[in-house]
Amino acid sequence: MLLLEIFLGLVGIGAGIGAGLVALGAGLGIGRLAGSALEAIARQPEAAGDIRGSMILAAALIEGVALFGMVICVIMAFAI
Amino acid sequence: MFKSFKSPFVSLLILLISLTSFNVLASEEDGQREYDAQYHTMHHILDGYSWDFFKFPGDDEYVALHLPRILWNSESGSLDFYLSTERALNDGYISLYYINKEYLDGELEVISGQVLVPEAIDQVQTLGNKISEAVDEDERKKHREELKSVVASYKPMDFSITHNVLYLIFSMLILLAIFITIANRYKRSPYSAPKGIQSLLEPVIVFIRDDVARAFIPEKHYRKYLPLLLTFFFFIWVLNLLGLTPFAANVTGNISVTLTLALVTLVMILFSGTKDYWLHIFWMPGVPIPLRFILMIVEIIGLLAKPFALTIRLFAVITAGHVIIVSLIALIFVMSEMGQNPLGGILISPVSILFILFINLLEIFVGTLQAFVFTLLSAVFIGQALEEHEHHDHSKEEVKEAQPSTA
Repeated sequence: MLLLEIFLGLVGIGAGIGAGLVALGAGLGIGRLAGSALEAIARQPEAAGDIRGSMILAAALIEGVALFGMVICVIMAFAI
Repeated sequence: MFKSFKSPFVSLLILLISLTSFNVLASEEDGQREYDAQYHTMHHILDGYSWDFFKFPGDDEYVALHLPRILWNSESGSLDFYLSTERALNDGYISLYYINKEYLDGELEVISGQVLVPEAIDQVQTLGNKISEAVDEDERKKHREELKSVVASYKPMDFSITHNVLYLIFSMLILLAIFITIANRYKRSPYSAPKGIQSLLEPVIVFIRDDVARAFIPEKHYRKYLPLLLTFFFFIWVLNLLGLTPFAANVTGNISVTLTLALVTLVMILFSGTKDYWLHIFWMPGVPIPLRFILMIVEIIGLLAKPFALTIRLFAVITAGHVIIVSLIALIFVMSEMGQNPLGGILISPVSILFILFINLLEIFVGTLQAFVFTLLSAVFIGQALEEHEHHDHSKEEVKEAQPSTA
């Protein structure tokens, strides 16, 4: 019985650390993206519209990847 | 200060505040019953057999519109149609919820409203009788395990109109109404300037045609795929926006819905692959032969990973947004619970409601963006399948490049 509780606790820890790492990854990735986009806009303000559009698109894709990881963490936390 | 109420922005803000309060239905805590935030979150995200509106304080059941059940009765081989779950139960079906409460002490995971086909009812009733008449604990346990396995293995074919199906139908009706109007206007006066809803949606349709379809699908074929891409975009967009209204269902947050859409994309990719495309997947030129077998497996996984990514991306983004909104609303009730005093809720309401408004606006944006991303990626994948590049012998090309160029 104790082993089961330890196991469930470990699953919880794993899910928590996983979700944190996922958020970290998404934050780093989108942060770099935003940094490059801002630099590019500063260099060439006429292209601001194009750059903004590409930035939002790339941010959506990166966030999609982050949410794959989040889905796995949620499954771990609630269904195992 | 009251002059600002005339400004449309402030009115919109006030409208949004008043609407979000219906999104989560919570019963007033009466000291005995604790507020269960997880239950309300799950209730908002999952599908159900009734369209729930609100709950009177102190009640257990929602004021709801019960949706029709369409069940396949394998005993009599007929498709039974009932106007509500209750009528199905009155007609001889048994509810899993009842069995769970009566005999299994809540051990079975049930969605309330699940019903059993009559052919399992005999087994269930005999086992239920055996459980009630069991002499000792072991016998009871044995019968309970048997009952659990009988119930778990019985999944009647359920074609019911659930909450999500209802909203899919709403979305379909909205799209039909809008686009048939637009098409008729184009037919009636093809050379006049667009007006009304035609002029609202024409830039969007042209944007999808030029920057999504034409940009990624070769010129020869893009018109064939344009209806599909437009349908993807507007269908997912309307569903995402509908999910943010009061009493709504979380349709695109249901993985079955997104999986179906992604499978449509997969079928389109498979049926529009040129010979070049399949050659590059299974027997790629320019690669030593033993390596081709390994790469074939990798390429097939890549082919299947694309719709899988589409599914999970849309599902996770929309569900995450809804969970955040519902959790922020639940925060108000949890705060008032912790101090056993509504003051906690009152104090945190302004903060919570501001966040909820912000997240709601963000979700409108994210819903639109995710619909666009789904359409864009479908266009990209279909375009990849349709690509035709010149067919030259790859191995000879390598030899040519290895030769030094003479100045």
